[in-house]
Order: sequence, then C-alpha cells, then structure tokens
Amino acid sequence: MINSIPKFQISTKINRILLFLSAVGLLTIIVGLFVAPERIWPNFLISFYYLTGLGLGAGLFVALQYVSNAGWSAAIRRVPEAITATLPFAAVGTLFLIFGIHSLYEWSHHEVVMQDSILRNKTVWLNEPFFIARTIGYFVLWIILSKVIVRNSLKQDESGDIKFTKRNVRNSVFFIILGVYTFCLASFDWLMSLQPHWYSTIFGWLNLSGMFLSALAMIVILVVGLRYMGYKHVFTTEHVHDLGRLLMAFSFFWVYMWISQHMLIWYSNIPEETTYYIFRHFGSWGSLSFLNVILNWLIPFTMLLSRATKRSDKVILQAAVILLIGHWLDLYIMVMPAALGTEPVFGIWEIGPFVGMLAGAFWVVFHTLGKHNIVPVKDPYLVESLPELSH
Amino acid sequence: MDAQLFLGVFTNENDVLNATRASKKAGYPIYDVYSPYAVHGLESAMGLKPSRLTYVCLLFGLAGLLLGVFVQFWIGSIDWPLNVGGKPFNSLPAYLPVIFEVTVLISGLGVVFSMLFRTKLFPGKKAWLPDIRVTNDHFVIALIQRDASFNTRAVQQLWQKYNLLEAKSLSEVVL
Repeated sequence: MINSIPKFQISTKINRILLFLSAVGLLTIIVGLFVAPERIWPNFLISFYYLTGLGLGAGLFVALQYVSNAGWSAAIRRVPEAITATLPFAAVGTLFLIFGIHSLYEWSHHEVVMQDSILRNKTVWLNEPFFIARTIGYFVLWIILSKVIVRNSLKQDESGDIKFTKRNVRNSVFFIILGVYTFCLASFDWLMSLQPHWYSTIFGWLNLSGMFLSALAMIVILVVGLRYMGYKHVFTTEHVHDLGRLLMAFSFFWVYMWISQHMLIWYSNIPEETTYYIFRHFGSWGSLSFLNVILNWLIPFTMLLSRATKRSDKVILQAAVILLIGHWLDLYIMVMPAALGTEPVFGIWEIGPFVGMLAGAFWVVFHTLGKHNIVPVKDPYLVESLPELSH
Repeated sequence: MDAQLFLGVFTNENDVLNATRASKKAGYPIYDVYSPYAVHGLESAMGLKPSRLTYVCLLFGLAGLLLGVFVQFWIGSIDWPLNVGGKPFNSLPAYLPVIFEVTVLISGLGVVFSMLFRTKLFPGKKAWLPDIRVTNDHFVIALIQRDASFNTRAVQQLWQKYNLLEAKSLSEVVL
C-alpha cells in the first residue's frame, strides 16, 4: 500500500504563479540596485538571511528527528528534506552580498575604523577577507552536512538498509552541534555587526529560535498544503497535531529569548547596550516591536492553545502564515534601523525581494518534492508514523 | 453502585483494541480496559470523551499569572518599595520571570492535584485489579453487567473472533 502513493507533481498554475513572483522579486532587486541601492541592500540581506534560515532550520529539524529517534515524523520527513534544497540558492544570494558590504557594514570602511578605537580592536574578527571566508565556510558546512543526510535518506528508499538510519544519526549529531554554533556566529556576522559597537551574547539564540520557528512554519504550510492537494492519507491529522505542538512551543521559545535579551539590557542599563533598544522600542519603531511580539507569539500562541485548533488544517495554516510574516518583521526590526537609521519605510523595495524570495523557495521545494517519493517508503520508523498504511 | 462486571482476558494489543471497538459498536457499556502499558488508539476505541483537565490547567495557569503579578506589585510598590538600580517601583519587565515561573508552577501542581482528587487517588490507596496478569502481559476488557438482559454468551462469541483467552463474571464490585 505504501508503494502506491503517487509522486508529487506541481500544477502548472502554481508553477507559473511562483515563477512569475520570483521573477518580479529578482527584477525588483536588479532595478533597485540602480535606483535605490541604500534601500535594496538591507532588504536583500533580510531576504537571503531569511532563506538561509528556512533551509538550515529544516535541515536541523531533520537532524533533530534522527538524533531523538523520533517515530512520529518519519512520514513527513521528505518535506523538511526538500526545504534544505534552498540552501545553495541562499548561499549564492548571500555571497552576492559581498558587493554590498560597503553600503551595509560600517566596519568595512577603513577610514571609519581607524578613527574609532572600539572598531579598531574588533578588526581581528570584523575584516573583509575573514568575513567573506567565514560566510563561505558556513555555507559549505551546512550544505555538505544537509546533503549527506538527505542523500542517505533517499538511498534508503531503494535498499531499505538500516545502516543509513544509523549513519544519519551520527551525521545529525555533528550537524546539530556545528550548525547551531555556526548559525549563532553567522547571525553575529551578518546582523549584529550592522551596529558594530553594540553587542548581545544572546543575539545568536534569539536568531536561532526565530530561524527554527520560521522553518517550522514553512514545514506546516507545506504539509497542510499537501493535505489539501490530496495527501490526506499520508499526512494525517496526527502529524498536523504534532507539528502544531512544536509550532506553539517554539513560538513561546522565541518570545522567551526575546524577553531574555530585552530584560537583561533594560535591567543593567549600560549605555552601549541600551542604544539598540532606545532606537527600537520608542516611537514608530516601538509600535513595530510591539507588533512583532504580537505576531510571533501572542496570536499564534492563543490560536494553537487548544487541542482542537492544533488539529485543524485551517487554523494551523493561518498561524503558520502569521509566523512567516512575523519573522520577516523580526528581521526588519533588527536590520533596518541600523542600515537606514530613519523612520520605518515600507514599499516596493521591501515587498519585492521578500515575496520573490518566498515564491522562489516554494518553487525550489515543490520541484525537489516531485523528484523523489513523497514518503520515505523504507524508513524503519514509518510503521510508527503511519501505522494504518504500513501493515 | 453495586454492579457485576463481565471480563474478557486477551493477550495481544491489536486483539484488545479490535475487541474494544467491536464491543463499543455492539452497544455494551464499557467499564474500563486494563492494560500493562498505554495502547495507542484505545481512548477513541473506548469512546472516552476528551479530558477536561486541560481547562482546569488553563484556569490554574491564569490564577498563577494573576498571583505572580499581584504578589510582586503588592510587595514592590505597596508594602516594601525598594529602589533597585533606579528603576520604577512598578516595572513589568522585572516581574516577567517570576510571573512565568509562578504560572508554570501553579498550573502544573494544580492540574496534578486535580487529577488525583478527581480519580480519588491518595497515598496508601489499595489498587483494584480485575486480574493480576494485567500488570504483566495480559489485557482485560471489563463490561458492566447491569441486569439479566446482558447476554454473556453473545459477548463471548463476539470476543472469540479476537482470540479471547478467557471470560468471567465478577460479582459485587463496588464501582
């Protein structure tokens, strides 16, 4: 029975819409580079940092399932595996950021650094060659590790050999340890160094929670979307329920981290730390920060609190969409005040890259999903995940 | 309430699951199903309603939240105001960790004690077992045998399909 599940095929209509939207996004970026470079570079950074988070978060999700010997998730594992296919695209985009390094990062200007004793001391870490090398290093590591895990999982579809599961458990341990450390460093490099005087040791964790939350939201959207497209018998209500629990838990984890950073800086009240929040928590940026907490925590948390709503396709889909938008706002608040230093702006240069990036990500994921079995048919844990179909 | 129970002993998880479903479908009142471990899908097979403990948990959580806010506000602003780092006496960010902990503590303890109270569990309570083997590797379905209209033979025939090991009546059980 499990072998009779049809492969996923993207409908031509969805295919066309996604391609059109990503083309529009790409066009906005190209036009923006000439018309409004000071606006497009921060948005470029937001979009590709977001895309990196989706791919890496999905990879870490797969690794987490292997490390914890999770049975429930075996049936839906192909979805996060497909999302990791966005990582190479994120790598290309982020590397293109090298051309915008001077418009984004204050520490890349030699004359500024020379007049600033704090920045002068930070040149050991914050210098252009090392920055580029680190960026390449992160992506090489993430892409290789996630590819190895996905390849082993796909090989198991043919032979059904248990050794692939065992190998992946070992690979996943490395992936989780190295992936979490390097992502924290990457968030220091790409986002925190936008304001090179400011520092927060929990910044990496805050970004990690947001990144994993957005990847979970993407997984939920795809799983529920596939249910609507006729895979209700493979992606069951139980899977949606479990994903709903994770989504709610990580939404709370995000706000926990958010409060942790905010509260400690508020408490100690040290000038070089409070500059970050004095700008962001008053005036119109303050309203956006308030909205950020509402979108990323209050609304999804209240929506998913009850058992019935966690099992409802409609409610969980809405919560996941709110979280995807909320994560964009979270990054917007981190990047924009530092890059522009003005009142919040919102227009074509903000919408274009983000929508184009998301549409492109969905296009890549749908095409990757179509290449392989939608379910890891010979996974040893599939019996636990799909008891009815596996007998 | 005194009533008789009619017990069926099974040795396989799937058998007891299917037998429970069949008994429920045939309309026999199920008293309980005994199992050495948690069997997936048994609650829905028995037709159990979703637990109301979640609402109890929510109420205790809200109570804990209010308690956390009130205690800190009353101590910090009314009863014993202390100047900590020049912060206002009534500052919400400082309350948050304690509010969080108190909410979790009160809802966790509250829901556990509510469950113990509702199921009448207390230290030293003697456990009632239909059959000592359910603590090892057997499963027991207990049906309520209210009056003479309960046809034990029909029930046995129904259970035979699911590899019934043995069936027996237990009389004068205090429910």
